[in-house]
Amino acid sequence: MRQPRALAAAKRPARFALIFGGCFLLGVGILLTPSVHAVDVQFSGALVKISHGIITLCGGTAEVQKAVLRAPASGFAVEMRDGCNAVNVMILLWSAVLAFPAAWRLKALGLVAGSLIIQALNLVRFISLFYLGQYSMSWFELAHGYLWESLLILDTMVIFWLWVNRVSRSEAVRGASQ
Amino acid sequence: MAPANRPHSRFLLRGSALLIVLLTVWWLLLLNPMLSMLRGSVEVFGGLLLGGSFRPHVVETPSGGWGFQVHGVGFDMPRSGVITFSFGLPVYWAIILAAPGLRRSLRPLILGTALLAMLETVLLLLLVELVARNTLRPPGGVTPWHSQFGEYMVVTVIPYAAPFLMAVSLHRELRWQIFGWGGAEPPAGPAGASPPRSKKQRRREIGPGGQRR
Repeated sequence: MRQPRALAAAKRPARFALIFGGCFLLGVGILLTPSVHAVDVQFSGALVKISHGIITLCGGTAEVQKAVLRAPASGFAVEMRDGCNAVNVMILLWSAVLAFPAAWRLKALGLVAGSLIIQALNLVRFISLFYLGQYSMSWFELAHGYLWESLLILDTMVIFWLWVNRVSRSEAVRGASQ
Repeated sequence: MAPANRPHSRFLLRGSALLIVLLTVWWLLLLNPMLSMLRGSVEVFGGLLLGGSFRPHVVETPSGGWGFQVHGVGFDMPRSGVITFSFGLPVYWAIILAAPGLRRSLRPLILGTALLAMLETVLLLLLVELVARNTLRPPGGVTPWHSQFGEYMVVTVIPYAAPFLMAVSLHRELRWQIFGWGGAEPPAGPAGASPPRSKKQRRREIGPGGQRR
């Protein structure tokens, strides 16, 4: 017969998968409700303004109109739409962090720090796409639709990995002190 | 610390480089052959999944999109919409090849490729069904929330997340390195150490009579 601890350890992946899946579906579902969607659109607008600020600070030229960033010289414009503001990637990270067994203090740290890193990367993504689109539409399509999105999820996976390491270290320290 | 001593840094660097290379190769060389295969599998399995209402013939439009005929409704899907269901494979290959232990990656590579190819076909057929139902809705009618949710999941979420989730599910060593849950036992060593790979190997490491070698 299996020992209770071994049984609990064997159940851990299934429990994680179940909570992760539930949180993820719930998060995406909430994101699509009209009231949250309106906030999401405003959030995209704010990110475009920040991107515009960064471009201006670095000596570049761009015009901003709601969630659209336009290059005055070439006329190229890029709009931050649903899925471009990395909120769905954040939901992916949140679901994984919430599903992993850890202290709530560490979960809060993972949620906040992870979201900030994802949004910082997303700003780099958006600004790079703004310049890439002025150079080549074909490469813009590849980078926008597939490459950057995949890189962002890969980064999210590694952020989660680092956070799990942090949780393990913190639990090891707590175990040693007890 | 050098990246070699940090499995997550090594994975991130290798994964990013492989994603850039493999997605570029896919975009320049593999896209058309993979779309042809997707089209073939949609034509073969469409009837099975969507029933007799699916006409098992996909017509290519002059702009490169695909024309479908479901429930007596004909509609076109733009090329960019179809491409979304073919890019998961190079992403999956990049993740698996970036994971530790290249030789041990062969089984998840083959199994995941087959599963992902099937999933992408099913997702495209689901989208076809959702679009057909939306087209049948009376003009001016509001799209129900569950239909929006389904379309969002099928187009914006699952094709992007599936290669990563599948890689973690199928690659035992990667899963162990991230979670410390390779098998039923939690990791004993520091994060990044090699997991016990199989029951046979664990038995060999522990030795007869339960003595660790």
